[in-house]
Amino acid sequence: MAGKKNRNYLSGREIRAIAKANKKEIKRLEAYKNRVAPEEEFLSEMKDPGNILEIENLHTYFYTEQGVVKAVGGVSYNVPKHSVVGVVGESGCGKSVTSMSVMRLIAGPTGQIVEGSIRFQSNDYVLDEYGDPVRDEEGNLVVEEKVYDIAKMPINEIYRVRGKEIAMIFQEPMTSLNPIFTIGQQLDEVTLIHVPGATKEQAKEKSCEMLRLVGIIPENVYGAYPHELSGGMRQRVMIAMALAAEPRLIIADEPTTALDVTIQAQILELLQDIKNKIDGSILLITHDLGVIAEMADYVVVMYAGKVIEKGTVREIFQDPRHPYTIGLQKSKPTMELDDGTELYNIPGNVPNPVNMPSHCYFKERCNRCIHKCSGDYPGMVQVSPTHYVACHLYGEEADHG
Amino acid sequence: MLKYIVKRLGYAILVLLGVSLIIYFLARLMPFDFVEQKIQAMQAGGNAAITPEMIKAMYQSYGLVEDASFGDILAGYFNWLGSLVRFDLGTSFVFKQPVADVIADKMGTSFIVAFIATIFEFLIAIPLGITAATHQYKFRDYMVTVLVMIGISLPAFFFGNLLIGFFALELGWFPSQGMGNATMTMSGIEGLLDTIHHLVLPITTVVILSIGARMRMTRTNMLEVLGSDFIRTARAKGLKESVVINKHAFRNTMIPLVTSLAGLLPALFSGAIITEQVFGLDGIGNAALSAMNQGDIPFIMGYNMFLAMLSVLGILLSDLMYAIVDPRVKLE
Repeated sequence: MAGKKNRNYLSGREIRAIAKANKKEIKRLEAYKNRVAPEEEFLSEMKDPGNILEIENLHTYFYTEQGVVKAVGGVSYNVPKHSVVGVVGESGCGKSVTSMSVMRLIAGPTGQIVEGSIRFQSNDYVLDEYGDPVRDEEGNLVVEEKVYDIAKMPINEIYRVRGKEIAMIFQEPMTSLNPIFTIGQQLDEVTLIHVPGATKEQAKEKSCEMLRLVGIIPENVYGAYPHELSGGMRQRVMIAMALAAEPRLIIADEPTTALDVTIQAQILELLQDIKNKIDGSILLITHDLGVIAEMADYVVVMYAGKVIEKGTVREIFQDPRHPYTIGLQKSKPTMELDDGTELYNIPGNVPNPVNMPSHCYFKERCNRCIHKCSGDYPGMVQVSPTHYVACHLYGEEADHG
Repeated sequence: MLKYIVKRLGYAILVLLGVSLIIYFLARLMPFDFVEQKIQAMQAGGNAAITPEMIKAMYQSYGLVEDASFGDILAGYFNWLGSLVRFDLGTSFVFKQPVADVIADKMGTSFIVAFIATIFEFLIAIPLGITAATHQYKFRDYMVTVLVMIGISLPAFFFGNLLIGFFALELGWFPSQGMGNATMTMSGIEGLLDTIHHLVLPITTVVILSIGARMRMTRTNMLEVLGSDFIRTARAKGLKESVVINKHAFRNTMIPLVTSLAGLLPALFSGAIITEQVFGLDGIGNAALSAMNQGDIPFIMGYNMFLAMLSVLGILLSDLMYAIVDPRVKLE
């Protein structure tokens, strides 16, 4: 192993050993994913009933030919009800993989959720003994609250929450809509699959309502094809699509990255507006600190597949503790720095994801390294009731994960 | 739309003129001609008394010139073109009938074989391609790929004879040659069943050999579509995987397939030269081969121009199909 670190190629024997180990692990995890299990196996309890989503010690790995990439290596954070949680971090830090794990959209067989739990407080239709949804006297569907552990769900059960209780908005509005179906067809689908017994007319009505909600006149767009709309309009349609099933949690994965700045502002305003209108939470993933500052109530900072700091938006922006967070804040371009000083940047690179060190992943780039940093990976330290940081510079380790 | 089609047809006439010029010159520049071969055959048959006058008269009767110069060939071309304008493709040297009649006569067999084979090809290749794509790098993918690779790699004369050897000679299930039973005349349903019985082996040969390319095309398209963002959106909506594949992905995969269907138009009529030879079918491919071997200029021209016309039409048709299946394409 000592010699391996300095080499950037693998011998044939090493490749075969990796392939063999991968095959075995993938087989086990795929069998677990495709199993048939009774509901009790993936029912769970929330640690704090005020949360809608609790991610605990999540590990999502990619079994590649070069070795196991630990894209998410033990991430824990919560999304409280009626709040916006922003996840920041640089490209490849695992923020998107975490959200894709929540949706169970990790592309198998290489990508697998290996460990941890994703508890989600869900609404589900009450079913009678024939498996049909129960309606009350007024004909409304009866719902009950259940807590599902999404990480333990067999993949065939994910349809209880995917798209219905948790919806997702993607980064690329230009390519995220199917080019050969009209906007109306794609929007109607959501209602048709998630509301039992919905008719086409009801679906259309709902779709038009959602389009109006995102500021689009349905008459112009309902029958249009995606290529006839601009990027901003398509992102509005994506948002309408996410809202159509009235989800409790919306995951917005870099919703404004592919848009130009004026449209970005409009889309953020729209998200802000929608957050007030719907009875739900938003998990906002971005690398744009400005977007986080404007939108989020809570912030989670991720680095190399781990959460390094989390707290309220005020704590993270006004009292950042982790040297990485401090560095991030310093590398924001500001209007005051007009005297020709160069913009700050964090030196160095993220360590190789296949061969993560056992010490703090930020050690090589950190300007405040202490002796202890060469030891074990730091645990989470609580610095205020809501503020946690994973750094040896701060106090005794708390028992929070 | 109508304006577009008329414009395209106008271009098509120009293309066909160019094609006819090239084919005519190529056919006339072959190192032998029909009359030369005929004279050689007569001499070999012991008919030694052939005078130069006779040779000249023979050339004249076929509308050819011995040791033709560039001017002679050009004159011959315009001669051919002149009769074409009067809807006359000339008389075939080999078959001694008007070319149009020969083509009409032989095309039926070739068309039936190609048409049925194409239907089976699509019916088998598309599901195989989709299965291979949705189970990429798994056992099913490898198995399908290996099997169709074997199909692609087998030459028609070898595979055809293999089928004859096993199913016709060894097991005696199917006849080995021809289109119908020569020992008795049958009519109606019985005759039709007899023809189908004779065509099973040739059609099987054509299908097995052509499945591979179509399957690979479907698999590649499907994989490309499955990797696109809108498929992820469809999954994120909560659609079942079967709906994602059979509705969202399949419709997109079909775009290039449907348009390639129109491109098949000439292939439906061109005949399978080698397969027809192996199974002794009286098709157009067989006729074209013997016409080519004997320098039958009117038939070579008629057959190739017929195919060129179908190709041009096929391309136009596939462009029109694009506009129908893909809402992003607008014709003007």
